Amino acid sequence: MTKQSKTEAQSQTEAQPKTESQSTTKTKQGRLSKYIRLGYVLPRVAIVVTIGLAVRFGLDPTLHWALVSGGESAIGAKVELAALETSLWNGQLTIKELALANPQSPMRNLLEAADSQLHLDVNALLRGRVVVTNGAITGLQFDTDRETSGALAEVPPAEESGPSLLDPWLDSAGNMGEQWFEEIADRFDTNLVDQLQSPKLAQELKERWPQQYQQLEAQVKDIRTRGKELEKSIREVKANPLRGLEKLVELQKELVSLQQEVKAVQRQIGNLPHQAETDKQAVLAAREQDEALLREKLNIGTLDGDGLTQTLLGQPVTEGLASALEWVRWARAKVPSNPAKEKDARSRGTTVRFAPPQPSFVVEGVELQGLAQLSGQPLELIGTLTNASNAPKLLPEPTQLTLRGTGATDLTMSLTLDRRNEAAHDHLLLSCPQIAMPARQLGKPEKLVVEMGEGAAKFHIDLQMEGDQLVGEILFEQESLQLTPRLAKSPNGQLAKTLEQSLAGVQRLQASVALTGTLKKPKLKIESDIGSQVAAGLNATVKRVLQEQTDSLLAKSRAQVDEQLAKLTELREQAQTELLGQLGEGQELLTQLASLTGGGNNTGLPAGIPQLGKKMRLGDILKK
Amino acid sequence: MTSLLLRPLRQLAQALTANDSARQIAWGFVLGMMIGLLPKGNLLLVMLTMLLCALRVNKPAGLLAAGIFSLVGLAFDGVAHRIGSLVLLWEPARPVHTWLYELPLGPWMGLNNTVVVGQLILGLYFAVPVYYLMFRFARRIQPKLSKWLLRYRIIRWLRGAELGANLGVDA
Repeated sequence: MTKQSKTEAQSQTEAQPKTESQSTTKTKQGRLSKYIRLGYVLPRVAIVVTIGLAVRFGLDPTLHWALVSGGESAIGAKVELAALETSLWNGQLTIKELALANPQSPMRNLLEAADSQLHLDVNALLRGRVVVTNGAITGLQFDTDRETSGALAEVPPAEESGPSLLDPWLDSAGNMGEQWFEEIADRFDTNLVDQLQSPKLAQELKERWPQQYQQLEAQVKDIRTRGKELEKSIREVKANPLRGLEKLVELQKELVSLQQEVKAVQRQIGNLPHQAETDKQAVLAAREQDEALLREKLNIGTLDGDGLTQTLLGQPVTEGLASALEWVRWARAKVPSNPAKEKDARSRGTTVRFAPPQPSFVVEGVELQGLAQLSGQPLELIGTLTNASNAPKLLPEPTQLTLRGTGATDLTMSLTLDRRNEAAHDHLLLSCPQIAMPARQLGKPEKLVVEMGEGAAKFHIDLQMEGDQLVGEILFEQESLQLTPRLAKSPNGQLAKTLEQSLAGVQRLQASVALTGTLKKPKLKIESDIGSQVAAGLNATVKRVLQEQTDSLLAKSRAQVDEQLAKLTELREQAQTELLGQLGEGQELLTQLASLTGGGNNTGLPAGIPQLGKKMRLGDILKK
Repeated sequence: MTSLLLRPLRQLAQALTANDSARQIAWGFVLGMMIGLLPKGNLLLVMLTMLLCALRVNKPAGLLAAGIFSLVGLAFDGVAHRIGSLVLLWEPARPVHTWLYELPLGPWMGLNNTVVVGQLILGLYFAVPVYYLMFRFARRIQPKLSKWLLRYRIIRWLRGAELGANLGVDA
């Protein structure tokens, strides 16, 4: 056998099994192709593989887009995420650095999540449902800063930014205590001495009476001067009666006129005691009015403890609460309350349900871990979110969010969103046994502010919402209080000092806020012992101080008026005696002149001026 | 374009004059009948259509049957609904229906619709007699009919065009 023939034989021997295997394959293919059109199936299989690959590599960008656009349309602000990875085989969805912008404050994030690992139920996916069986969202942060605005380019028309929910209540509550403080501040800061009438009247008399006496004195002096001149003229005529006969008649007339003036002045002096009595009565009446005025000023209403509580705590409570309620309204509007929209019924036949309808999106349970800020201190949050879905009405259990905060303080929060019944029922429980409270101010800076020092406090919030109805209670308690009052009006005045004394005794603040009404029109009632404590101290102190002030003013005014009247009486007696003496001299001279002119005492004047003073008993009159 | 317009005629000619076996024609017709009877828009129909296309059965006969029974099926909707209701609401079978519904892709199968189930049962019920009739028809009548039809140039041309189309030559 040649080498060539050997090779051929070997190749034939090797080729024989190959041919058999090839024929077997061909037989199988032939058998398969006898029943199946491979020309049809293979291209379709290729298409299916291509679609599978497209889904594998295109699912992530598609889901990324769907999550961003869906989230943005839901919250009305930008939704950003750094990366999204899916593994359908394992049912794993990973979202990195998710950030939801705050629609009400575009430069802040509503929340951020550094890493979200979600496990999806693949079987449920094949049934058209997205079910997150478990997962973990870590690196959660709330209300963080953004570098760029989170507002959408096309911003839907915002709701009218009217007053906050609690503004009307806050206005009325603030007025309760403020009126009292206004009244008290006015009372303390007003100079009541200026309003007293009796000292003013006494001062007026003090100025008027000397003027009047000076005027009368001038008249008396003038009468005396003219009387002496008349005497001189009469004596000259008497020396040569024949020559001065005509002049004598004129002198007699002048004498009569002078006598009438004396009579008039005498009458004025005679009226002085009556006028003094009238003036004195006026002063006494003014004093009575002054006393009435002071009593009225003293009669200040009692400060209502409730009103003061609303004044002090109203603003800080309502500011936080109004904001919280706005968020609750916003969040409730976003939580779906209706069952998932049912697919359109087939036009032919009836669809029979073999399983209860289920939501198309469900989060069965997700662990949460994040960081928050409470009173400026970091708070580590750990919690769970269960039974969240797009159709919570279809779930047997309500949506539940529980969070526990550790770190700066211990905090527990439980939020239940129940949409199983017709009316949505939500329940929020928040409890913090100890929290460091920073220094803060209570009240209104333009009126009264109570500065509250740092301290430890505890609070408990229990809010329930049935439909639109709101019922809730917030309890707050802070020990070791340091309260310092600040009054806008007269910060260093007597009221400020009085207030400081009153607040020195307040060591503890306990407040409860009862919430009722609706989410749109909430009503709240703040009850606290701080108002009653401060009010009790203030009422007593203010009344005592005012009484002391009034008594002191009254005594001072009375003494001042009495002294003035005594001085005036003395002045009057002295002046009257002097005037009557001077007038008496003039009258004697005129009587003598009348006898010289031969007219006798036919002037109608009283018997004698010196006797007039004695008859009138002026001393007795002025002593009245 | 011409190929697209002539395609139905070509397929009709192919169905009547094809060299497929009587068994293939009968299977194709039965599958087409079931496709025609079933309401559209469910995964069951897609699966049956894929079977018709993927299996080596007479596709033109299946398409012809689908077209005919789509119209005929509408007339049977009332009966199908009653049959489907009886089956679906039969309490002992409820676990089976629930299991079917709970299967992956179950909700898209349409097996919880009364008319779908009714038409499916009708289709299955008529499958055997229709197969038998079609088989006999194909074996006895189709060769004669084919021979008779092939005498006409138009049929030959349509058949040739169909073969050409299959080979990638446009008519």
